[in-house]
Amino acid sequence: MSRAADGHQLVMVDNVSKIYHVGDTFVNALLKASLTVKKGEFVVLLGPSGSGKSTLLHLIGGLDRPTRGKVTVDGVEFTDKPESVLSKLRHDKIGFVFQSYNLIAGLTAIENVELPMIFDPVPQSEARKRAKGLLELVGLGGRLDHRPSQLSGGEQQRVAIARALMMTPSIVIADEPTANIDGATAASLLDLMADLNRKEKVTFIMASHDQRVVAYSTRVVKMADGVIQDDGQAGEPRPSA
Amino acid sequence: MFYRIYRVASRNIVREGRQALLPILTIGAGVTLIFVTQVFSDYLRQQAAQVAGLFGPTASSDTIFESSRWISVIVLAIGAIETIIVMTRNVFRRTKEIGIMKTVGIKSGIISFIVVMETFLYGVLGGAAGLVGGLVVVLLLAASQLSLEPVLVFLPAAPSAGIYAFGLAVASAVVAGLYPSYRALRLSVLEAVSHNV
Repeated sequence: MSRAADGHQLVMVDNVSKIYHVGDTFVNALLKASLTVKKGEFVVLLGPSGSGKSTLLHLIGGLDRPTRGKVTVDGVEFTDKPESVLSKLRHDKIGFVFQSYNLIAGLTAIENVELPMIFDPVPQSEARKRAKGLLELVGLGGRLDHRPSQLSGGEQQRVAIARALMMTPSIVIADEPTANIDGATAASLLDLMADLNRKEKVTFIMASHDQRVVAYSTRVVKMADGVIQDDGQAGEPRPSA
Repeated sequence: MFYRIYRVASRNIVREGRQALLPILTIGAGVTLIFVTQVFSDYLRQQAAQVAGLFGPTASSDTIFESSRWISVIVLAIGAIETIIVMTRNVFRRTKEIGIMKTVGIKSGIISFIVVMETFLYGVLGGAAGLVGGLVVVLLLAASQLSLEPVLVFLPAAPSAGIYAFGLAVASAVVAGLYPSYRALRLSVLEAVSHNV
């Protein structure tokens, strides 16, 4: 049985390509990429800028559609599905952490964390309680009512991580989450994500060009020029961080 | 759901601060003019007939009276156009915010509805402000010597004139919200979340 056919796979990327049209030219952002991710893994996509890491994350996260191939997340194959299906997938199954935090400036930390649940048929008190618990989990229990402009970069990224966990997603996608923050803060953020992976069994797929993140992962997938060049073995023991 | 959309939309208007005042005040001015024109319609017809007499057979009282109504509607239309401009600009300025909302799985339809709800609230606020202004103008005019009529003569027309002017304000504001709402609906999630103003 192939790995893609294994029922335990959380993410299946099957021979996926993404080609962008820029004027009269075609840019191959991703070429025939195949990847599977199991529940509980902490996968790092490692490669330089332009290697296709972000494109692959966007496709797995349902933010974009592949030109060719299939993407399946937690049993949902959404390649040709309408935006409403992708929206539900992002809401129910995927949490996002971006390089630039992507918090809403006019909302407080707790309101940003509540955002994915704001229109769900859930009592507001329940959503607030969960958001508060998550902010405490990421070490920001004392910063609930601070706006993003009142928080440091590292703190904003912790809010983003808490928001990513709000809907108890199957997978958290992190695109260069430590690129905009200093080394010590980056290390504490990576510790936090590794802890969440170990203790809360949160599955992470992270894109980075920073070799230091390898120490926190359970598997490294190396990319260059839109091609997966080396897919580390799933289930490798995590090296000590 | 409806209440939550209302809360987000009203919060957005509060965040706009002074920027929100322009469409509200212009819609309000239109509503005031429409309200006053409606309340004084009989009186205005009489005055228009006298004015028409001054201009000879080429001017009719109906033409002059209708002109005053059209001026009111044009002012309201300017308010609606301002609402379109303000909301289209807001949607552009909030592109990243809309992208973030779409990223976390909030449906595009809900985001579009928030935009329409905001313009609806502009209409309600402008309509309410316009009615208050209209009542003040009616009371001042009726109490003055201009009309030669006691205040009470004009007040029975006020409720229907108020409903008409307020309804027109809300309807025009909602129609004004359709285009920016469509733009919010059509935004690509990836382009929106990568957007930097």
